[in-house]
Amino acid sequence: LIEERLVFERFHEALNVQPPPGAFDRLEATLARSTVRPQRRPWLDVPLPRINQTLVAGLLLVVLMVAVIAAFLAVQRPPVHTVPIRPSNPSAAQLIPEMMVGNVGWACCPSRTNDGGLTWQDVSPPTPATRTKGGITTYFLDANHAWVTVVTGAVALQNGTKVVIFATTDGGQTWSQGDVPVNGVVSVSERLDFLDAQHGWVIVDSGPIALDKTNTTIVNQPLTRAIYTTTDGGANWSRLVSAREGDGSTLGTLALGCSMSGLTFVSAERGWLTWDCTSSNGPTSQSTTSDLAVTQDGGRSWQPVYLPASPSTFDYTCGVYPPVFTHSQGVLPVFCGGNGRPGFTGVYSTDDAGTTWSFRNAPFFTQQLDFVDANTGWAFGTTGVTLYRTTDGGRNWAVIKAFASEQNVGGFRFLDTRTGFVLTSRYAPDGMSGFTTMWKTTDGGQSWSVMSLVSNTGRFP
Amino acid sequence: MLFKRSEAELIRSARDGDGSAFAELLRPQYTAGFKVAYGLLHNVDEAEDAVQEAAFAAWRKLGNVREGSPLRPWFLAIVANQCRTITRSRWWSPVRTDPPEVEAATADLAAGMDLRRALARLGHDERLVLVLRYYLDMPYEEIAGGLGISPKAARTRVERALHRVRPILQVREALI
Repeated sequence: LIEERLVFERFHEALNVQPPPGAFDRLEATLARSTVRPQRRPWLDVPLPRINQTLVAGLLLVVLMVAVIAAFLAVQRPPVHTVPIRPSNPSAAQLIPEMMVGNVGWACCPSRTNDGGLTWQDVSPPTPATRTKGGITTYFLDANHAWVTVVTGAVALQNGTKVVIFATTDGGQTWSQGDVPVNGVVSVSERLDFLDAQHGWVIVDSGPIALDKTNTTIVNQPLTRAIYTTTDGGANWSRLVSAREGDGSTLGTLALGCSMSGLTFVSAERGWLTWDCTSSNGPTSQSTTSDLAVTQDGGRSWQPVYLPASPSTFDYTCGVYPPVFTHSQGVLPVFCGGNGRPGFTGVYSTDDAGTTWSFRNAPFFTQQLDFVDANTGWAFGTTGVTLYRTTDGGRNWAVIKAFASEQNVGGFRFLDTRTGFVLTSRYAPDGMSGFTTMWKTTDGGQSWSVMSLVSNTGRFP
Repeated sequence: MLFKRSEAELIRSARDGDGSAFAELLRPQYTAGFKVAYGLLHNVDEAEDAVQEAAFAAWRKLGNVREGSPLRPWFLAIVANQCRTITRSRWWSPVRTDPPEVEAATADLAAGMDLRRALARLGHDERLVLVLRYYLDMPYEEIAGGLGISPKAARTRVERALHRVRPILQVREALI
């Protein structure tokens, strides 16, 4: 065995690096010149600015200019480009299907299978030359319709200024392109949802800051959230609502700094927004915000939903995951990490389409939950690779399968009450060689068969 | 005569929007934050980016800091979360193995690269506890405070993660 002293030495040798010269000075200058306003607790009185005639005139001028620009953009919508692609050869990659009809399915980013997930083809749309930071978001409606978002902008500064939404209606053989201009730059993230092949929504967070390492360009702005909608399958997008951090609106107030976990429309009018603050840029104020919002008018206005029995102190950071509804019944998985105290996992359920919610704690602590309807869900618990199932909306959980030979769960998904996929891994005692295994069930998780087994041996690649 | 402002005064000023005051608060934490980011990302430019973005996130959330709480674990947790976000949003392979800019023997560079590759193969949480323990030399109690777990649990996590990279370390020892 190696002495711990040697481990310290090896780490210091391998990672021996200091901040670049002037790095802190650049940060200091950026902070000094920024207009970021720290969040305040809501019970503090925030003085409102005095509105005078000059300000009113200025605001009117701005509104007039925005209206002119919006009118111009409305009549000058960009043409729709259709881009054929050549799918790559099928590979035996171990991908977890996100949607499947028969043996035809989709997985992230996107890839497509025609044999039930045994082999996959990369059918990604072409990457724009001006692609910048910003994650890819996908939505798969059926075997043929899918959408993918990519952020483009100023590559040198990695500042995103536009969200490009690619759409396919032929299973990824060709993609057409629609654009959503972003009101701001940097750290663009987005979520997509479609009700059918024509009607969809996208929420885009942009901002709050642009940081330039050379310190030649600094852009500071409040976080901006905007929701756009399409009625033609994604060729054209129009803005439904926009909010800025601190403007007092629901979208400008809730879950600032948290990751969006879902945008879920259950009808053309009613939809839900959920956030995961456990993967945010730090702890958030659970006592002052909600991680859930609902719209009743197709996304034009949003109201916060304050869940009962939700943690009311700063000692927890929670993530709310998209609700799953069956008619008026629904479930809403929640995960809360504790700061110096045990965290918990639970499920909120509703019988009145989300008007009221009741909470039930789960007998395990995990972020790995998946529901296919308002009653049926699965979760991997804390102890080993153990799969639990509920058939009553999270009231009761039962162990349904223990993957005794496995060590880690790489991911899992159920497509309906019977069909599911789990990716597991295990390593030899040397920690270097091992296997990843894709499992499939067709009876709701009671029995599993190995779809593929991939060996990872030798030195780290 | 100039007086150095106390931490409480700096926090009050920073909460009122004084960026210079917040920079003064961060100054003692900057190098540690950069090291955490570099240990997780293995890329100097991305590490600087991550710390800058974490700094702004921290400033916006300064109202959540309890009076008297140490700033270091709080800020390092925000840096680590920022690195997790960057890693998740990476477009392609996240494994970067650029050697650090130091003069070293070829064997040392190769060994360092092996260790960084081994770290890159770990999950975020495992990589984080190893970086905090063996690169920032943090005691288990401080690691536990930052992660919101007990010192015993922190030690267990470190030992479990160390077990994953131990073969690389042992190979290195055998070569010497």
